Amino acid sequence: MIQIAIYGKGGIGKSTVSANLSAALSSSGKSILQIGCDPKHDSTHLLMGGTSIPTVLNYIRTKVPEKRDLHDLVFTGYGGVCCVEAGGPEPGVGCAGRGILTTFELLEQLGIREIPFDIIIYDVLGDVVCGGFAVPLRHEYSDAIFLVTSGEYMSLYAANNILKGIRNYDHATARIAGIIYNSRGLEHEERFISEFAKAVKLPIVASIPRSDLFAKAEKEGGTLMQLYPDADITSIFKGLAEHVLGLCCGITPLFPAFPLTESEMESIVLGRNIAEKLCSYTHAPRKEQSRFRSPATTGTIGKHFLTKGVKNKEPLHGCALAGAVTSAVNVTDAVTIVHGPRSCAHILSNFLQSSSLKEKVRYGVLMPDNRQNMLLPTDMSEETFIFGGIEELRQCVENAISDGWNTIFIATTCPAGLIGDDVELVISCIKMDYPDVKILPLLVDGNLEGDFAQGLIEGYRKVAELVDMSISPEKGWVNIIGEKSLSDGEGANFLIIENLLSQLGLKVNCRFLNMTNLEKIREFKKAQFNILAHDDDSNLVLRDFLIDRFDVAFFEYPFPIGFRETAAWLKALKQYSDSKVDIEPLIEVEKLKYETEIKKYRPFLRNKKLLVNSYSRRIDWILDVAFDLGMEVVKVGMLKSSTDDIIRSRYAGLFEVEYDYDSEKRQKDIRELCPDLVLSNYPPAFATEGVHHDSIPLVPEVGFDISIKLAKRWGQFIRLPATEGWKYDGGESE
Amino acid sequence: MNLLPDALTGALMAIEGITDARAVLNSPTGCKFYHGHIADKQYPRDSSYDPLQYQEKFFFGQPRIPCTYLDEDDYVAGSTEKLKSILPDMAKKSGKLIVVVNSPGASLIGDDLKRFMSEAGLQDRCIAIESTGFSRPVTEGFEDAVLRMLEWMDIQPLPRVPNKVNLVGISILHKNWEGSVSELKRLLAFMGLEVGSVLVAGSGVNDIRRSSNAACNIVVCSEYGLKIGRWYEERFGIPIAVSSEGAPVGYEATESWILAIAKVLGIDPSAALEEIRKERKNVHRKISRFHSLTGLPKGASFALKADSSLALPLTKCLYNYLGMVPAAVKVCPGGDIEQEQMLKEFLMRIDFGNSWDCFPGEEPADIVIADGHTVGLMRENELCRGGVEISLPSEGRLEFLPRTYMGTAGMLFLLEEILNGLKALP
Repeated sequence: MIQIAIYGKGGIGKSTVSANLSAALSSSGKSILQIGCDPKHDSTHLLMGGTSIPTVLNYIRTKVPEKRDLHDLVFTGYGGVCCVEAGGPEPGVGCAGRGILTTFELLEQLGIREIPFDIIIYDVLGDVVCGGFAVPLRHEYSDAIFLVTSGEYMSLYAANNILKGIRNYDHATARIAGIIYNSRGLEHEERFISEFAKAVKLPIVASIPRSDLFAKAEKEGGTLMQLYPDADITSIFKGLAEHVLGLCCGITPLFPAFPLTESEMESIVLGRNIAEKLCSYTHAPRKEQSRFRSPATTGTIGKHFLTKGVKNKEPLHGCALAGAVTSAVNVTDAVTIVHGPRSCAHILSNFLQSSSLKEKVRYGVLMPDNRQNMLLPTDMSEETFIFGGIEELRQCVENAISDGWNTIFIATTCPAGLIGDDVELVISCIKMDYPDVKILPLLVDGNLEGDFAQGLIEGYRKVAELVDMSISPEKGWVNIIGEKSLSDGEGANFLIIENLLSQLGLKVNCRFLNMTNLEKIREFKKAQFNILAHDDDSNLVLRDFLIDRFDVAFFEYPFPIGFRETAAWLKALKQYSDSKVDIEPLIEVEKLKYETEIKKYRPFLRNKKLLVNSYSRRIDWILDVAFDLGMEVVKVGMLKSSTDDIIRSRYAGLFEVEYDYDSEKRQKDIRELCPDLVLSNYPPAFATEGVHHDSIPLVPEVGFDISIKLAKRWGQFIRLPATEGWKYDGGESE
Repeated sequence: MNLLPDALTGALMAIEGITDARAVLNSPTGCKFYHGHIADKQYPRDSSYDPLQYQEKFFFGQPRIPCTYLDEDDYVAGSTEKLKSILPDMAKKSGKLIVVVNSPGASLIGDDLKRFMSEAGLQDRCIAIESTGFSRPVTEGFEDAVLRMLEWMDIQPLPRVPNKVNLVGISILHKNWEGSVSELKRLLAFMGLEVGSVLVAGSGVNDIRRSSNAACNIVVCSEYGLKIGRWYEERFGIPIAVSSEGAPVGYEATESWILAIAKVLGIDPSAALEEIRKERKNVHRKISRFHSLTGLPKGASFALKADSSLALPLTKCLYNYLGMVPAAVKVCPGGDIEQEQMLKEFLMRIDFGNSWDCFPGEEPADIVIADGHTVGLMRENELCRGGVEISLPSEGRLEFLPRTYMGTAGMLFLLEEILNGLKALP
């Protein structure tokens, strides 16, 4: 069996060539299968007597998998040639390339390989050689490839692109059978095609002149072999068939792809001398290039609020979809539709639920059940990947509206973005029927918009559209910005901060965003100022956005961790908020508690060596306690973080800092620096003699108490066995 | 409620369930983190999950399921460079088999995965799954991936070993799969049977290559194993033992399972049945104490959401054996159609037809049996009195004692959870 792919620009006559070639081959007694891989599905039209056959992709839409049968898709045409049409979506929707992939998968599943065809011909659209349309180029599908082209520049350009595609697959392997020249009867056409063929080192295996017989045969719904068997032009196809039969027995040679560069194309085919032009441009006086100048704008239009990973083009951690949905589901009286396959919605629901349940187990605080229930999936199927998922999305939005939701976010996944579903169109259509419903698109397209952190920002930006701009700040109210709503400690941390704020007579207006209702979001601007929960990269981007958008004030310091930070934070906050409350007595009480505990544990920890390795660049809450206990910080190793860069510490210079830290470096430091205590976000589970390991929480407890808890923990820790017995039992991996 | 996983998860867990196979995702990291976490949690193969040990490229701090971290550029230009670099790297770090799986987004790019495998000289160690099926049931992804791997293994016919059997239709996605395998092996040993391979959960490539010497393939959960069993039957003529009552959950279904196996193999089931009878007697004493004080469990209601092979025997067990009220019963997508029909007919026969295909029901049930998240959230929101976690995702409780809901040990577990849950009745 031999498989042949026939590629060429749309409208160049591939289908006519393929059908006439199949017809000619059939007279040799070989069993032939022709598969049309063009969404316009007319490849086998002539073989089928001028009628259309059902396409594979339409079949998938109408037949459930267990009832699919190959016999519904393969039709016998002129000369016993078996015909299949892939079909495709309507122009402008879905993904035709995915359609080709699906067609090939289905035909194989249904057993097409088990039919003993001698020759299979794939008739493929070659304008866009994307992954889908390049499937027939794969070695498992084509042993030989023909290029159909006229002498027109754009047709040759497409042929050259196909050569580039083949080159990517084959490198120097010889798989091209030659060029089929389908003339348009233009002036100098033959010269262009000859120049091109010579340059790409390929033979022209057939030259098909313009002929009225093609139009006549088309009108009569048949091939030339069938209708005009003795015509001169028919003999060209007979010759081409001989050429193909030569491939079957290895007589016909094959050639590797040598595509041309664009400048070679212009120079060889059009005769333009690029080098001369460049030379003349060099000597010509430079004109000022007229760039587009946009009208003066205000606000956030055109401004970028990019997180570190996206800005630096680092490997993306997580996807923007997850980030955006995390923001959106924290709006308690809105629902979020995930437009994509079930796996995306499952992953999202899983981590939202996990965080709720962990919060309950650890801190006794259960998120209201609705955060998990606020996700609706559109469950994109194979069919929607090909034909577009607009209808399913519209249905899902209408269902949400009939369930009583008045505010709806629509978050898009990678597949939804890649097939180009027009979400805005769905929204505008639905808005006509439901003008009071707010529908907000989160067009993050999975990770096409960036990583998790960028998605969070995009979610915040969209939610910010719900803020009432007319509201003015009122004294005594603050907003809490950028809590890590998925962290299991954040609920407990909020209660601590709320208590500290109340000591200064301040009240929380809006948590942006952590289980916040629409009314609180609407009143966002009521706050006198804003406080960041964390000052990591994504929250700083969020802060910049909120300042830019709403011109709001921000307190300088994020949530404080430990005694020293909390005391300083309260003093600074008192001044910033112009509070009249005397905060000193509270700080004095806490100071006494702190110093008493430090004194208690200092004898156990004085002069002990501490090695810290952490993702977080903000570790002064650890270093405060360590230095107050008289410990020696031998080194701080900074792990690669997708959210932060440089360590920020008031102790800078008192210890060595190493970036891009890893387990090998940690082992080396343990050997050479001999620390007594090693703190890591994830302590190792294996034995390291004489060294205590402890963990650093990714989101530590805020407020005064964590310092005392740390001192007590390390003070007891250091008196325990350095290596616990179970650590000796770990075998090597796998 | 929990949104159920689809075929992508099923395929990845099928691969990761083989001791020396590695799933490699051609995907963004968003698809990787969750699956890497679940694979490690359900079947920890490495001694540590310290992210510091897995900082190298493609792993992103997790020991399992490396990925090509696709981004926008790759979607436009193809992921050639990343695929070229990940495969040789994984070859050094992996066991016998590497399976490259496209995420839904990656499947739209159309990268020729086989070509990269071939170029890396890894065609003998690698297979590609270009599309697992989008939003298709998890069971479909699981079985299809297993069949792909079996084809790759090129299993040769071997002489039958009369007392050797394979367990098919159990996966690392099943809650407490290790406990279930141990319990089923224990019960089969009463009939003199030894388990060769478990398809696929915890067996290696070499074990599976020898699986053609089994006298019988015993189906545990038909939606995860019937197709696999049929593949063996067609290739090697190995008979399938499958119970029409579903998986061995509850005493009656476990007996039916034993009898189905004995019938196919022509062996004496009496020792295994005697073990079940003894256990029932022991349990009777304990239930009777609880019942005499409370009248329970009779009359307590349950809401159930599970795969069909579990839902059928569980519903019958709770109704027939404990006298409980089936308030709501729903099966997960991708179930065994015959079992679903049997369950529906059973509920109609006992005049609880309205409970079919609804979950959690209009009124709070006393006991909820479902995935761990659903159970946890319903319990915490006081929508039930007790719950049994029967499928993933897990509520996150750390468990060291071997547990299962299958066989006689499984019945003890179910009784503990249900009766202790009912103690909270007002």
